[in-house]
Order: sequence, then C-alpha cells, then structure tokens
Amino acid sequence: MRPKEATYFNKQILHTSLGKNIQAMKAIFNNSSDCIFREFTIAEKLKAALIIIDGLINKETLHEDVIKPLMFAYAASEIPPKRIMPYLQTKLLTASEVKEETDISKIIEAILAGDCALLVDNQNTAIIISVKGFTTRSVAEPTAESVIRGPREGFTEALRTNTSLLRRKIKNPNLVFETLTVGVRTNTLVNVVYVKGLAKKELINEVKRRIQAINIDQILDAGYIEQLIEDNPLSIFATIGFTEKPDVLAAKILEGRVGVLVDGSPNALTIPLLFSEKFQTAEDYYARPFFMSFIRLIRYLSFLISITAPAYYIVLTSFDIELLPTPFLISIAASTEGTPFPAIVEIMIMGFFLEVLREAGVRMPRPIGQAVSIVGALVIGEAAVSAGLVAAPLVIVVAVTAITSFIVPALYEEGALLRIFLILISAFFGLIGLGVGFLLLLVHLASLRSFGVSFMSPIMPLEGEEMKDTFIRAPLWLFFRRPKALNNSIRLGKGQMPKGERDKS
Amino acid sequence: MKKFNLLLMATLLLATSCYDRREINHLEIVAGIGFDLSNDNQIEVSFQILNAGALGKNASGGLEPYWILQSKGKTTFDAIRKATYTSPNKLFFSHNQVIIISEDLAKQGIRGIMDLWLRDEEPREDTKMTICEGKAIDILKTKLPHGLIPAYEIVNMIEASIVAAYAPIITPIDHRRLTAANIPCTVFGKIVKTSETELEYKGGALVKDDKLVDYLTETETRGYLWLKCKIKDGLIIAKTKDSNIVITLEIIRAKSGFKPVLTKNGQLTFRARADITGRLGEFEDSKSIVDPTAWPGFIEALQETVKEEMRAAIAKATYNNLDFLGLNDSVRKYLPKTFKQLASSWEEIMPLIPFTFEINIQIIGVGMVKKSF
Repeated sequence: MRPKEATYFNKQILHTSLGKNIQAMKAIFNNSSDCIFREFTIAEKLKAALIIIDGLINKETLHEDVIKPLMFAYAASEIPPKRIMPYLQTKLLTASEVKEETDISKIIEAILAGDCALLVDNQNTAIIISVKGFTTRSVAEPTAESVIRGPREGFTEALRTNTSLLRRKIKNPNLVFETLTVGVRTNTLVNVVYVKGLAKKELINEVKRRIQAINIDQILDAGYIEQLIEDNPLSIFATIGFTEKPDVLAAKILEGRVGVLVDGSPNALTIPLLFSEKFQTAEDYYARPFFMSFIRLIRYLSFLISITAPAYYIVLTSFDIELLPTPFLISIAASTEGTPFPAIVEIMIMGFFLEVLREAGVRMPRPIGQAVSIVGALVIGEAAVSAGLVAAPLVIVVAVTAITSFIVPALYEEGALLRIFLILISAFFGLIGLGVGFLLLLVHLASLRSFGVSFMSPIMPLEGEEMKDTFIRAPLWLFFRRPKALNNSIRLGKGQMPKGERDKS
Repeated sequence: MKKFNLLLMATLLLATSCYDRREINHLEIVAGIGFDLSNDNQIEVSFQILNAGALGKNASGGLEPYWILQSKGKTTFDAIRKATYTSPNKLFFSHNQVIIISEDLAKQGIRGIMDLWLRDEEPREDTKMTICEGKAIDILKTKLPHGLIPAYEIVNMIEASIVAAYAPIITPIDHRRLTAANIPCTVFGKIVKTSETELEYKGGALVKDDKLVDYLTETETRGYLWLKCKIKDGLIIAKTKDSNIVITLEIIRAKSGFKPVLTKNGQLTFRARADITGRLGEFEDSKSIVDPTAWPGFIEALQETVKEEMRAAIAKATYNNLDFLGLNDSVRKYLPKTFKQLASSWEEIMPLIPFTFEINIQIIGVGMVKKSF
C-alpha cells in the first residue's frame, strides 16, 4: 500500500491571470493562516503578488531586497510585458538567489521551504526569491557525546547549518552533498554526504537507492531513515551509526564512509557501521594514545561485564556454588539468609528497577530526575536490602552492571536486552547455558552485515593491520591506511613519527 | 507448522525447570567432616555445618556460627545420606575442606571413605585429610579461640605446618597416588586435641593397605619429609660437638631424596642426598657472630642433625616392612633387573640394605647482624 499523495493543485502550470493564480494558490494552501499573500503594484501600474509563509522568511530581507525595489521601480513601467520578468530579475531584485518557475508544484515546494514567490499580472511564470530566515537553535555542545578535548560544536536541526559545519571541516570541492526529498507529506530534505574518491561508488549508489526506495509519508528524524534502510531490521544490533558531532562525521567520511544528514535532525547517520566503532569516541584520537588505549580496553571489558555480570551471579549462586572461594561463599550465604526469593527473581526485580530508574531519569525534567535518582538509590540500594527483599551482594552486582553499561552508550540498548537474554538462559541451564548463550551472540554478530561490510570487521574476519585501531588506539603516525572494509587507500606519509631535534639536519 | 514446531521446541526449553538449580540458602554448607567408629561398629559421621544466619554482619548475637550434625550408616555414603534424617536441607560438600578420621576407624580401614571422596562429584579432591587420636567429633567440637569456623581454622593450621615441616599434608588425591605403589603406604598428618580450646598438628600416622598401623614421631616424620623431598621451609637445629653451641638454621631452599644404586661389587645401596640452602637464624654464642661458618664443626653439626632425622625414618621404614619411604618402588623403578632378583625375598633383604648420606649445606647469610668496627 502506498501512502496517498497530497493533491496540492488541480492545474499543472500557472495561468496568465494574476487573480486566478492567487485564487488557485489560496485554494492550495487552504487559507492557512501563516500563508501570506501580499498584493501590490510595481511602479504603480503592474499588479503583482508575493506569496510567503510567515515565520520561514526573513522579513527584513523581504522588505529591503524585494518589496522596496519593486514598488519604487518607476522605470519598469516602460518595459514591454514580454521582457518584464528578465528585467525584474536582472535589474530590480537585489536578493542573492532568484529563479523563474512555471510549474505550480515547484513553486509550492519553494514557498514551503521558505522562499517567496512573486507573481505578476499577465505573466504565466513566477519568480522564486530566496529570503529564507527562520529561527533555529544555535550551534551548541552536544550533550550526548561530550568530550574534554576536541571541538565542542554539535549539529543543529537546520540542514544548511549542518552542511556548513561539515564544509568548514573539509574544505575540498570533492566533499559532495546530494539532496534527496523523502516523505510524501513532510517533503523532508535528506542530504547524502561523502568525499568523492574516498567512498566507494557502489556504496554511494546503494545508500541513495535505499533512500529513494523509501515510501513513507513522514520523516521526522534521521532515525526514520535509519530504520528504513538498515540491513538487519530484526537484529537487536544497530548497524547504522549516528553522531551529533561534525568532527566525528568528518572523520568517518574521510575514512570512506557515507553520511546522511536529515533536515530537522541533529543526528547524522554514518554508513556503514562496524561493531568496533561503538567503542570509539572522538576523544580517543585527540588525546594521546597510551591512556586512550587503556580506556578502550576498559570499554570492551565493561561491556562484557555489563552483559554477563548478573548471569554470572546466577550461575555462581544457583548452579556452580563450588566455583566460589569459600570465604566469599560464606559472606554470600550470610547475606542471602532470610531473603524470600531465588536469585533469578531477585535479579529480575532489581534489573527491572534499574531500567525504570534510568528511564525515569531520562524522561523527567532535570529537577525531578534528580529526585528520582535519590529516591531510587534509597529504595533500591538501602531499603531492599535492609527489608530483606534482596541480598546485598546482588545490589553490588546490579550497581556494577549499571555503571559498566553507561561506559559504552552506543551499546546501551543492545546491552540491556542481551543481559536479560543471558540471565534467562543461565537461569535455566547454568554455566553451560551462559556459554551457549554467548556463543549464539557471537554467531549472530558474525552473521551481521552493514552495507556490504562485515559488521564485526576487523575482528571477524581478522585484519591484523587494523588491530591498531580496535582494542587499542595506536599512535596517529601509525595509521597508514584507511580501514580495509571501506577504502584501503593510504592516508599517511611515511616516517611521520616525530623525531624531535634529531630531525633538524 | 514450522513456526509451531519452533514454538514447541522453545517451550521444551522451559520444561527443563532449571535442571540443576540450587539456592545457597537451601543448602547446608559443610565445612569439615569427622569420621568415627560407632559402638555398634558402624561408620559415624560428624559434619561441621555453617550457620549462615549467624555469620552475617547484622546477625543476632548468641547463635553459634556453626553447628554439628551426626549420623551413622553401614557405609560412608549411607551415613552421609542418612544425615538428611536430621538436617533441614541437603548437605553440600564442595566447600568441605578437611576430613578428620579417628584412630579406631582408621585401624579398621579407610578405603570406603577414600573411594567415595574420589568417586563422587561434589567433594573436592584437594580436601586436607588427617588422622586424629581419640574421636574425630571431639576435634570438630573444639572451641578454637580464633576464627569463626573451626574446620577452616584447622585447614589453616594444616597449611601453616609447612613452615615447621614436622607433618605431611595429604589430600585424597595424594593418597590415591601413593596407594598405587607395590607396598601402599601413606603417611597422614596427625591431629591431637591437647585441651578444650587447643589442637596440635604434628607427627605422622602411617596407613598401610588403607589401615592405620603405626604413628611416626616428629623426628621420623621429618626424616620422611627429607627423603620424599617435601621440605620447602623449616628449621634445622643442631648442637656443635665440642663447644655445645646451639645453632638454628632457617631453610630457604632444599632439594632432597634418595636413589638406589649398585656399587662396583654389585651391592645394592641407597644413596640419600640433601642440598640445603639456609640462613643462620640463631647462634648461641657471643663471639664470631659475623661469620659463624668459620666455627669448627658448624656445618658438620647441621649435617649430622639431618642425617639423624633421615636415619630415624629409615629405621622405622625397614623395621616390620613398613615401607612408607617407597624403597621397594624406587628399586623397581631405577634397577628393574635387581628388583626381579630380589622381589621374592624383599622383606628379608630390605632391612639389610645400607644407606649412604650426602648432605650439602650452603649458608647464604648470617642475618642483619654486622661487625660494627
């Protein structure tokens, strides 16, 4: 089923009569209150009308560059009607972007995008004048990807601002933005961005093909595009990346990836996505490599702990009790004494509260969010234990799970679901279940692909050269080539390791 | 249909109902076990069981951190299973760390216990085993002045004994290995209750063919440990011959053992050897503190002590054919031809085989004491 397309008009091109055109336009816009028809005369003789959407245009520009020059252009009265349109464009309109249009649908599109349309009596063409100007959020620091070192600016909701942010990073004519329109009703502008020569042609074409194939009536965020073009819609793993930072997007497209900017969304999509990218942050590359390598290892370890810690707790307290060191067993035995539920139920209760707390903290306005965390910490951490509902070691396990899961935000959603899966499978089958569950996870990960690239690359299949930027972050002067899965070309000159004073001769 | 089948299979997974699940608070965690012989000649087992409720931080006072459960049966396993007559939950043995066997029972034989311990999957094969004089339950009931769980304190005590090196440490798997010999002998450590709040772990209990046959004194045990190369730490105490100065040497490294050899004239002898590296611990003389090794007869005195200890063990082993040193096996291993000739008359020949000793003692330090001027 196709979404029903909106009918803007019943006539393909403009009439010669201004009155009829205005009537038609008014009908098309359904007398919407924000659509303004400004009727006036050029040089007191020629009837004309401007159609604008209030709020989308810069009124000052409209006044200074359009209305004023036209109204007082007395010389225009001597121009024959045939040459009046070119004359207006070349001599009178001081606006920077002007073009002629006869197709009503194009005119409507332009008006809706914030341009103004100038209709003149006895002319079956309209002049589209760019007077865009609407209020947008200013460029601010992205809250989701904060860094200590590195650029602070983040994308906004305005597409043009975002493209400019990126263009300022990559001053190169080969940086290409290709515009597509998606959404039958919303007509959302989508920009496919790539560096010509770095991104593979097939990849660019595939991304464009999939976006063009989208047939939906609304695109409200980049997330809509992501969900409609991804490779593995039934996997819990996202195989398209997103970022709010222009520097990150620049880095990714300079490695040969393709970006997708969606008007109205501060998130740019990056295609394809590798599993290892989820453990990377912009700062990894801006700070020096030693500590960053250590931190990256911690991220991998944390992710592992966050998905397996509760499952291990169940295995160790309900199945393989002999694996615990005796003193540890004694303290667990002492604290589980008198708790009413088996470990699996306790874990489920606490896991449920953990997600509830997180969600409440995210959704609630900040002052209330704080109250939520205080109440939550008290209720869960303290009261549940002292009331004998759950064992104290379990609270530690849940806390460790929570903290470690926050370290890799890109995998939070996947981690939360995997955790439940591993808890259940180990509650039924113990350590063997946990092992098999983990194997299933690996098999699934190995089967995923993202736009022609193996999702687990460079770990599966193993690319020795790229281990420099997977579990650790090697010094920048060792990153000779771009990732093999994307574009294996050379990006670094030989002998870039700084030599200090030895280099002087 | 395919979907239905998949669903059916998924439901079957739920039917496993957590097949092996057990909750900690539904288990009685056994910390130590004592085996006794009951009056009606059955096996009587005493379990020292953790009382989890009394172990926590906010446990109410007055409760003992452990309790003792007793049961008896015809076999070891029978006795253990019958413990559930009185136990509120199933007993859990994976954290049991010590087995104490009473003298009476050990004299009758410990084969059943040993077999069960290696055959069943729950008990650990590295549990410490010891033989006690008197009743095993008395040992478990000893109120040691330190620690919460006496059984675990006993284990610590057994492990610490390696520093003194006057008692062996034996686990079921060690015992199993030793019984593979021609003359299966094991020397267990011996535990003795010396007062209501005190236990002592020293000396050895000699088990031959899974039956207790004799006890070893401390010196004999030390000799046994020397000849089996089981001394890693400990002290050698000697007295110089002429001047009667007492020397205490702290062993830092030791490698020792014995080997059968044929002399040129075809005589079978055992060559015992020990290479000891030590540090001077005490030297009861006001003079020559800096270099006591120069003292005449110093090394010889130490060598003599080690020799004496070895001799004591050899005397015990050759007397009555209690071959706990594995003399028989060593000949079989190193001199198979000679062994074949001797096999039939081994018992008569063994006491007659001579021993030669080679004790090398190297002293690498005299401690923190220095000559001041």
